[in-house]
Amino acid sequence: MKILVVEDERKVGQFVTQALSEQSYTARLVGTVAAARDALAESPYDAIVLDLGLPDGDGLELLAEWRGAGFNEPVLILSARDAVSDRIQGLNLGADDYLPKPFSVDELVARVRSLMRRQSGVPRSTVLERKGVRMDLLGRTVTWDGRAVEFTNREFALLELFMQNAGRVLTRTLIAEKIWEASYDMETNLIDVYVRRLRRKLETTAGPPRFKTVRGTGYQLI
Amino acid sequence: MIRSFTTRTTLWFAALVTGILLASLAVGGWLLNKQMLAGLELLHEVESEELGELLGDDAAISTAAIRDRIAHDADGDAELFLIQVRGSGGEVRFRSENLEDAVLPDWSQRGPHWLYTLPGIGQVLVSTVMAGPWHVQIASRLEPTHRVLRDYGEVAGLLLLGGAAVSLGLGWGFTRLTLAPIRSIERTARQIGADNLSERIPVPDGGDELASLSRLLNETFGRIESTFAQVRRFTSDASHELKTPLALMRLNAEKLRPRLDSDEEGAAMLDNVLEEIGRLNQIIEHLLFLSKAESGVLQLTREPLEMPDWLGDWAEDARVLAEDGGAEFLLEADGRTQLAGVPSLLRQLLFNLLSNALKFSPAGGRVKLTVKAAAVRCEWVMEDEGPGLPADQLARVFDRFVRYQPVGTGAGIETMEPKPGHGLGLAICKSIVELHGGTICAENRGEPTGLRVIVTLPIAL
Repeated sequence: MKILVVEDERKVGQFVTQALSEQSYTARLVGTVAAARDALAESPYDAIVLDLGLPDGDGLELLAEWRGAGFNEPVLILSARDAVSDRIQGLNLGADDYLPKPFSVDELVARVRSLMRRQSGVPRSTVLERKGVRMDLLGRTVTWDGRAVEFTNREFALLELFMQNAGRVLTRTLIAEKIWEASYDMETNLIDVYVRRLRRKLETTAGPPRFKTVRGTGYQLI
Repeated sequence: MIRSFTTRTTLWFAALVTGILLASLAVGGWLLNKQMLAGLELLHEVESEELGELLGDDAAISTAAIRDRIAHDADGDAELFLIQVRGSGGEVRFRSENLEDAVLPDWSQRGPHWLYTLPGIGQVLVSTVMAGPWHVQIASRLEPTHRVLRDYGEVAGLLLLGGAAVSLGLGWGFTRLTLAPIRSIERTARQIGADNLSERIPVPDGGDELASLSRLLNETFGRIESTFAQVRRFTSDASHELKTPLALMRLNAEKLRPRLDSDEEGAAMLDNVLEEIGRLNQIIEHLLFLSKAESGVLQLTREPLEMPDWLGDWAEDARVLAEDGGAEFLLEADGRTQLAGVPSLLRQLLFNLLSNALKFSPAGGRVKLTVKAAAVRCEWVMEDEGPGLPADQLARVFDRFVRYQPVGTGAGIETMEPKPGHGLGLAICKSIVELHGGTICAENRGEPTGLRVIVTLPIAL
């Protein structure tokens, strides 16, 4: 799987390419619009990580150009600019996902993986299971060691997000975006409150924690 | 204090016109008076000559003879003249009946005509004419002259009032007419806002003052336009310049984490660094949002939102947050309406108001959001049961970086866990409300105490 990383900040780009390489993707880093054009003309890529502010042009124009030319592989936008309008504009132009800077490299990798999976058409399971918790997405029921546990809609959606990404660190940004469709921090401890509610329902004081707090970043379902 | 230029100019114009009118009328009155006195003097001279002829040249004739010669004539003109005749020695030889007891003094040194006040008769004009040996003195009452002058005065007063009124009207009309091009410039200038800054005022033909004013304004708009462009560029550049190093800090910090697995203290420090990076990022986001909202650069997509249905999802989160903070949240709706708003921004507004209310709520306190729909606006009222604010802070609470101190920072407040914040939350609220063309204000509740924040949003689809 080959991924093109278009990022003019060399150090940021290196972090991204290194992290992707560790996940056994082949990542190539370019720093300008011109170099990105050349790279894509040279060889096909399975996905593109695209920074918007490039020294010789705008990433959004590049994206429009690719989509116009029939490039259908997933594109993830990386941007330091205004979260709200860039996000909408980018998604309208055909980007598949959007990640605002400063981002966590784990989150970037997770998102790229999820985009590739979506692309490869692996069917999603309608029943999720992890450590005694069984979640039926169609029946909207949750059982823990066979006993039914009640959840509100929001709690259910959040649990589903954790179950789909079990073992991975979920950043606040991602949770806010997926569950509340908020493009920036809601300036509340809403996420912590909901995670606490999940804990109350799915953790025992005696047992090991199920939802681990990753300080400064987010949460992780063990 | 006169503020309007039109009013000021009109008043000046009216004062000037009325002043000129007053001066003309005063001169007219003075001339009229002079003319009437001159007429009387002429009559006196004619009458004296006539009397002189009747008296003849013989100064030695008896008083009876004098009376005989002129009494008839004097009686005939009694309405007009008071007559007194002195002999060559100055002795009074004849006094007409209408003089009664009064005697006209011998003031020949004062000239032929002078004014004198006769007891019982009033002011008179006296003329003295030497006719042969006779010293004929003729006086006329000035009362009719005074009456004419009084009438003239009355008419002049009315004319003055009318003139003042007419000049006010004329002045106002004239000023309005003169200012019409200025007003048209003002209207156009008012329409130029952040979203159509490239528009310009049409410059009138010719090189007059108005054309140069229009050109000057257009130049100013040009400068403002380029400033706006700079703000746009700056916010974009600033976010890039600030966030790229922030991204690197975060990437490096995260990379460091696995190496600190065995070092508990080190890991805690790293977590602090990551948290502060997040906070810094949030402040940057908020400042950029505020600067963009204020300069009108923000592009917004409004959607029709059903009130109060749209608030349902949010209210569920609000209840959860309130419960977590040991408080209670209530949503009350009065009427239904649809308002055009940006959902993400309005949700942010509500969350900010809620977290502010929860921050100062006592344990078990109630936070209530009331939604009132009216014909042209929708009102959101967020009330808490905290201590409220000192009056002088109510107006400043929406300024940026203002962290307010509740009333009576005593028991209860200190025991509350301080929640993170950087004093931009309410400034953002104000900004969001203003982007929607609404207003926001804060006031203290009466009983029970607490803060009430009122957001009014116009319903304009």
